[in-house]
Amino acid sequence: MASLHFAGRAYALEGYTPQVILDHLAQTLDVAENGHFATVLCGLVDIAAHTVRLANAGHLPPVVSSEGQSAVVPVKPGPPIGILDGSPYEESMVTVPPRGVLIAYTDGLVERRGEIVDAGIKRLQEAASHDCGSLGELLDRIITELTGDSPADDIAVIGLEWQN
Amino acid sequence: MAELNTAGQDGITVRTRHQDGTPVISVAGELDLTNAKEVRSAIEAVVSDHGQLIVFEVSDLTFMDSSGIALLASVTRQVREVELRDPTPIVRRLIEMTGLDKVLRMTP
Repeated sequence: MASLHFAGRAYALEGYTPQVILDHLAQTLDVAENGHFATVLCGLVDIAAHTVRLANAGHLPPVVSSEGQSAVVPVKPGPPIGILDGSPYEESMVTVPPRGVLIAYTDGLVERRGEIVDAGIKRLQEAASHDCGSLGELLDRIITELTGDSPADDIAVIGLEWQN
Repeated sequence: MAELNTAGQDGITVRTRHQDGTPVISVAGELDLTNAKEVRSAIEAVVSDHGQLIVFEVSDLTFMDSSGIALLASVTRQVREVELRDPTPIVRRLIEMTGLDKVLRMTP
């Protein structure tokens, strides 16, 4: 997985777009060889324009939250990296308003036995809609509200906030 | 023949039969990190034996996490075609959201 991480960074430094980065990464890993695969959400942030250009390899969709409202970002998933499907990934653009937050996360945050994954994403949207002061407080609140004290899976959450 | 039964809350059952020469693997219960390896070994022989079509019958698969996605993903690389028969809404949605619907077929 470390090699995938560094390859992704290298492609990003070359100035490739998220779609091209995922297309390239898809060539570096084959689940049939060693059982490894990865879901990857790749984003290119334009800070001044408040936009993020996204491509998605099998990852759950990010959520944008702003002024007490939150929405799921419609970003079409291609297969996870490692499947070698061969068809190119698609890109979409999301705009994050001033003081808005883009939240990306791993599946352990929203998955729960006995329910469809959308229900967990809905819970995330509700938790993300609260005005919480700092970004750190918001992420703490999200993790507490969605997993309680005993998360069943390891969890990663990333928040990107535009402060103005 | 692939047979697997695990007891307990997270139990999973795997059974294989052949239908007109095509292996049909029934997976029932909850497929997750705790049992994905066992399921993998239970179906390994059938999968590596068969390059064409493999059917997973999953009408009684009530939960699956990313370990299940990993398992299905690797099978799609080993055989020409993977069919997922009668997925529950929970499994169907997870397959769609992880883009695996591009590389396997769900019926109906």
